[in-house]
Amino acid sequence: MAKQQETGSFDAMLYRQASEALDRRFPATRWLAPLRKHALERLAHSGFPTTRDEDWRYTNLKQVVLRSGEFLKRSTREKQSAARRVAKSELNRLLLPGLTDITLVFVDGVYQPELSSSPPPGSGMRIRTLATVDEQEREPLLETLGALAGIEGCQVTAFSTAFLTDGLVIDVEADAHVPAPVYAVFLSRTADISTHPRILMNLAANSSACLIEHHKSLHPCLSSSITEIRCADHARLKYFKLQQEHHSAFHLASQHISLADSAGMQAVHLDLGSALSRNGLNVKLNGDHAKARLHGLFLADASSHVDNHTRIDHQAPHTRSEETYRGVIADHGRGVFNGKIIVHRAAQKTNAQLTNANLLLSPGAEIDTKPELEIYADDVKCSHGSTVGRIDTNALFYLRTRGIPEQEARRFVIRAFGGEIVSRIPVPHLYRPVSDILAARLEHADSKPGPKQ
Amino acid sequence: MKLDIRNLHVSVGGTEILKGLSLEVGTGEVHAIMGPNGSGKSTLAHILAGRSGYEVTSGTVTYNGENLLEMEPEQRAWAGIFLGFQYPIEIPGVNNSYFLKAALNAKRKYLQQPEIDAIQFLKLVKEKARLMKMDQSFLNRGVNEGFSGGEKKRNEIFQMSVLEPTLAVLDETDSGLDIDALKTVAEGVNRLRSDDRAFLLITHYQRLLDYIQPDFVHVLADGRIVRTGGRELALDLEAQGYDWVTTGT
Ligand SMILES: Nc1ncnc2c1ncn2[C@@H]1O[C@H](COP(=O)(O)OP(=O)(O)OP(=O)(O)O)[C@@H](O)[C@H]1O
Ligand SMILES: [Mg+2]
Repeated sequence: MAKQQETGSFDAMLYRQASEALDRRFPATRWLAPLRKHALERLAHSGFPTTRDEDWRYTNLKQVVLRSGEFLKRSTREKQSAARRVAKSELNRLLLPGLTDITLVFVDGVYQPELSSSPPPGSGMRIRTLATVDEQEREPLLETLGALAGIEGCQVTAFSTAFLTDGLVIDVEADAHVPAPVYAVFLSRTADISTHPRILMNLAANSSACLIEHHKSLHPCLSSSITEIRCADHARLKYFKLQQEHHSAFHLASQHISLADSAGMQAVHLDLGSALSRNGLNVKLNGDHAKARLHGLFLADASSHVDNHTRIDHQAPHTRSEETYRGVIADHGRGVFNGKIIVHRAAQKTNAQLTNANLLLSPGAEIDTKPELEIYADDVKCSHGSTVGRIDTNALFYLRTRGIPEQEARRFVIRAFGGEIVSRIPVPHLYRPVSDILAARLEHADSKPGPKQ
Repeated sequence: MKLDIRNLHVSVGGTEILKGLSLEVGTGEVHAIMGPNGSGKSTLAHILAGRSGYEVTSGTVTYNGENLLEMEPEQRAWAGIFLGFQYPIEIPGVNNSYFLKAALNAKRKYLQQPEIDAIQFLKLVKEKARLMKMDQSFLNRGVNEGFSGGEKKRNEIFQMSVLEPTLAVLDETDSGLDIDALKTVAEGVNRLRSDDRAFLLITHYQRLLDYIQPDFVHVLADGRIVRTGGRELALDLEAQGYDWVTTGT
């Protein structure tokens, strides 16, 4: 048994049963079955990653794998639609404010049309769910789904795909500029289920759009999501992901974004919840002058584990990337950051900067950070670095001499550290509410400080 | 206001820095402390503000009859003590005016006064900033973040003028100031001078004392007050250096 877990193998029978149940339970997406079957085979072949895989050295999926079978079983059971009937008033309390124009709500993995609103016709944006796409779209979708993510390479992607039941397909027409953010909400209200959120987005040439992903669960559960976004020439993408899973939940997510000539993206990732989370952000700067600006803030407290892996591939000349991630680790929390920048041979005149700064709030807090640069071109400007520090006692003393109590002074400093990332959220009206969420969360994380430093 | 320091001995990491320092500061008084580099002036200032890392091996410090050494830094602030830092700390991302409002309200809370309302506060800080000839934009920057040396010192006095302490300890606030800034800072101090306040000015330059006339001048050398006099002492020191007061003590 112990040996089995080490090899990352799972309860194949439960998985197979769950997979078969999907075909029956979700007839509208039965057309995805070949994709699912293929992914399940891949997974059966390779198993989940273990800490012996270089990419997973610090993140042990044992608990996730162990419980996943049972979660899958529960989520494919027929009778639990009642839990999905969520009142609008409850929903409003859970959602970010001011994003009602284009809202797509999934509850327990199931799309809720009556809680959602689509972009108006003529806006240049079209959104469908996998369950409602036209029949002639299915064939090409079977090809594109996973093309950027590549299930061959990653077992977690294979897992998510093996149980894919629904998702969003978002198309932005050429030259269309859609000011309202697309707000995709993935809410889990039932305990011990497994959901597999999926987004496929296409920005045609010279278009612009904003996507917000909000992952939230009220009970322990597993969520494994995949987002794939293609930006054609001169397209502009703004992206914000807020992860607020239950403190006992598991969250395994990845985003795969490709940018063509002169396309640009700005992304902010905020990891505030879950017992174990792993986010993989993969950006491919495929076209000349493509650029990406990535910001992230992750928080681990209690005994939670938060892992951010980012990878930027500079494939073309004159591409730029700028990445800043910050980690706040409290209690016995553990953070992992791995930021990889690969400058390929063709990517001359590339400019890449990566920094990761971490704040440890207690003696039991831990962080493993590793920025990596691989450069195969010779005319490039690259820099990377990471820092790990504790709260500056001089700053605390300064604030206290002005009459600010110690706890509050700590909060000031911690909030300022995280606030820098929040201020980058590409939707200005969200600064305030997200700052409040962050402040409350940080206050909670720092409310049980260890021995004074 | 009454500060009474008696025979204070303070060590850092086993090295004795203050070696039996005694000083009394009464209400309405302005005391200047001068002394060679490394003599313990900043150490004294830090001890009064409650910085950790120092060991008081003997002696007492009472403030308005209470044992100051037992109070936390914030409690000392509420009781009216203010420290102007020799090297003000940069705190990136903590908004200057937000921070000052929190400081003001913390004191008000301690005094069981209602919080200051936003409009009133804004009026107050704008007025004080104007008096300190500080650009409004400084209010919305991070505390001392990217401030020049002189701007940091000005910001200290600006904070002091908003917080209105009863005992202000200013550690070399005049160092690094150009002549106009020095005047502005001196005006800031003079405006606050009153019968119910006191100042402890640590300085190397008698120049400051042209603008802020002290009641007493002390020489701190090797951890002790070795000489006390009036304004004229500062002039003598300027002319002759410290040797003539420190030798033979
Ligand atoms: N944390 C510390 N560890 C070791 N020595 C210290 C520490 N803090 C102060 N000292 C020493 O104590 C002595 C007094 O320092 P202090 O800063 O009080 O001097 P000062 O009179 O303010 O000097 P200056 O005029 O240069 O500002 C110095 O020799 C200094 O090196
Ligand atoms: Mg000093």
